[in-house]
Amino acid sequence: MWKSSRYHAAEHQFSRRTFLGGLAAGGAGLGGLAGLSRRAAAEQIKSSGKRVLLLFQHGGLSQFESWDPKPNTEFGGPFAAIPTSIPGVAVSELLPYTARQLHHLTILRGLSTEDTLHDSARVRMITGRSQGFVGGQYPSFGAVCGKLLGAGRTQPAYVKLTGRDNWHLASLVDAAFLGPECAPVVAFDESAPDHLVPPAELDAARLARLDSLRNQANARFERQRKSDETAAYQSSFDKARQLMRQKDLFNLSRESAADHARYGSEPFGQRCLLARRLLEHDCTFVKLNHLNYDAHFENFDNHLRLLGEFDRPFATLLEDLDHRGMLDTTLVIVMGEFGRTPKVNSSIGRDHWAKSWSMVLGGCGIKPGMVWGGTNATGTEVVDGQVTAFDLFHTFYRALGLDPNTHIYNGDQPLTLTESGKPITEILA
Amino acid sequence: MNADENAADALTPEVSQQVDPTRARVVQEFQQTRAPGYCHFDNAGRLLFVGSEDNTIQQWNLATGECNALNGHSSWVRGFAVPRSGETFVSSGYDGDLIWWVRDSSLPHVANRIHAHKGWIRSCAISPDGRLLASGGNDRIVRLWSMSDRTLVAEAAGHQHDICSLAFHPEGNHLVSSDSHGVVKVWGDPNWQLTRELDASSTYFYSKSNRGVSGGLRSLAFSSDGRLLIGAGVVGGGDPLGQAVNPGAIVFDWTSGEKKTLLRARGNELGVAWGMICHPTDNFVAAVSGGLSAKHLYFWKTSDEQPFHVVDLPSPGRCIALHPDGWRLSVALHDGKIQIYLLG
Repeated sequence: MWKSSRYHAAEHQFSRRTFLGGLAAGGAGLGGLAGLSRRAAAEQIKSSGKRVLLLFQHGGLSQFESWDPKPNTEFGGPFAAIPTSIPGVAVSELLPYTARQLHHLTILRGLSTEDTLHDSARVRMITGRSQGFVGGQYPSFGAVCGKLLGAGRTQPAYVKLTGRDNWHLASLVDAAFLGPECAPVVAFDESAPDHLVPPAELDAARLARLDSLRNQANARFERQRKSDETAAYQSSFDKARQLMRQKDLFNLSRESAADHARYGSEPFGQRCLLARRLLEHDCTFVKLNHLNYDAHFENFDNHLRLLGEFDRPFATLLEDLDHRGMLDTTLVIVMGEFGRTPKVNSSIGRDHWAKSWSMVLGGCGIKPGMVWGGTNATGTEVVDGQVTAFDLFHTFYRALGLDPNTHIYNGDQPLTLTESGKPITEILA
Repeated sequence: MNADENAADALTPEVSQQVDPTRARVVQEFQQTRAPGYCHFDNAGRLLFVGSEDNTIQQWNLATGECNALNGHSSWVRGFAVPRSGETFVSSGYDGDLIWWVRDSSLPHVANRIHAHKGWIRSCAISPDGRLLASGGNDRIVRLWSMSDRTLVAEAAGHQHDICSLAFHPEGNHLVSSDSHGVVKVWGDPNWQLTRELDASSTYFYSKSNRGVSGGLRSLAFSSDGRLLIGAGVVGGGDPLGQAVNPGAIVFDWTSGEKKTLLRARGNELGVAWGMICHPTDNFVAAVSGGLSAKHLYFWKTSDEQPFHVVDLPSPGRCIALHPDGWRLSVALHDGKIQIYLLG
């Protein structure tokens, strides 16, 4: 864990200093910064304009208390199921606002993703890979999408919205060998990323002198080291400078009082409003973290609280994306690392469960208003439409118009975007 | 939850002198298929009602071992209020309903149902004179109802968090409610206005790093002389989501409102004191613990931090009730087992 956190320090805040540190830590893997094969790159350019909103429910949302309720059954729990805007489809009563917007989404109820350990399952569900490789990790879906879909855009390609107190739970892997230029911009607690405003003592003249010094160092560095690394550093620096000019992008006071009221003043609501603002301003990939669903203890109380935070802001965001016509180009994904056990434990909690769980997705490239897959009466088995983690990523990439067999490069090693799997063609638009 | 109001009337001097928790032993066991959430004896002590996770009330006949399922709630049943006399009792559930049951035939039937709260009702309690029923839950409002005509008598608002437990003072002129952040409010007769607050916030735990939450007093009970208020739940720990919390109880001096004693579990047991009773002799408090490593029946003196007796349970405990005779306790376990202990 410690090693992993340290390795990815550059991904935790947008700091010019940590960009440099991250570059050094990245080591030999940075040789593949060009990443994409030439032919594939040309293809992917066509995909520009598409966006992704990944809402990651850390800790593992209970499928029973959300998308696959089983009231009045052995493991169903105390909550009722309520009808939704998809005729004949019910979700947990903990999602009344989302239920009214569900026709924009499709529910997958047949997830079977094997891994029930937080860290490795999170890596799987964030990278589309079962594990890392010797000496490194694969890049996250956000970093890959930022690279493939964000080319040519001026806004940050990949932004992560999370809480400062718990970023460690949300940050296991990100750009990896794609390098710091593909690392996310991280905004903590609904505020702008750190260090966007230079310290007061750095006036323009001093900044110019520092720039000059940096440029000299760069030139010397470039003569002695691999040019990819220097290019990555320069790219990161340029990104940082660009972001400093775009700091208003994160200024939620620009949003109307009415919208603030609709999203609510709670941190998750504000984060959803910020996500809307970022997507509206053409950020390619926004990852919005919500935690912590790891309810081994008092599962029902915790889901009542957490989905109470989640439901209205998420439904409002979905409604707004629809009203703005953005769902055609924005893939919305709501998932965590796994689901939760059918059996209620002795602490009235539910434990980790990857055998039969659920998620929702919608928007770009996805047919809305469907339920794909299903579980048995008690929710212990998938009986229809089983989907692996890799099937999911094949589906995500296809929905975005990207070929999951496209190569990205770790050094000279070509790698597909995910492991072997099949897209769920039935839900692809 | 409230203490068994019936018990005090039934006690003989012999009970007061001879009840001895250190000799507690199982004299009856029942097994139900679903986990229990709450249990309570009827006023005659012949029946045990167990609220179960299949939304039923399991009615156990202590003499015959016969069990009947009472259907009425649409979610888990987590409270009972049983008057000292008569054939009516009330159950409360996570469906937000209060149900008045009448036993005028072989099995109790639903006489009246009130959708009393938005969201869960986590607790109900009956006044010592049997005239009022108090209920509270996730809408953070305490409501008082007439037991006879089931009308709303009063509402008490002010809690900022879910109400976990309720208890009437033995004199009947005060009602106490505790919420999930350990705020204890005292409401006074005749208008049930807020008269003061007690601080049990030390029972609330929030982990900034993982956003786990646990807290509040899961049960409240007064000593029969009304001089002490006891609340049980979680009294220590640091990682609620990881079940790393410690069961225990707090004893308040009712007059001063000061914390008098912290009743702790044995060792670093991980779990919650889900249920607690104060014996009407005022000689001891009993609580069941359940959780990651907690599965005990604890007996404390209200003046001593450490328990004077601990019984290992075969499975984590969920709830506890005192029989009207004062000699017996029921303990309902996570695995569906119901144990009746004789205290002497």
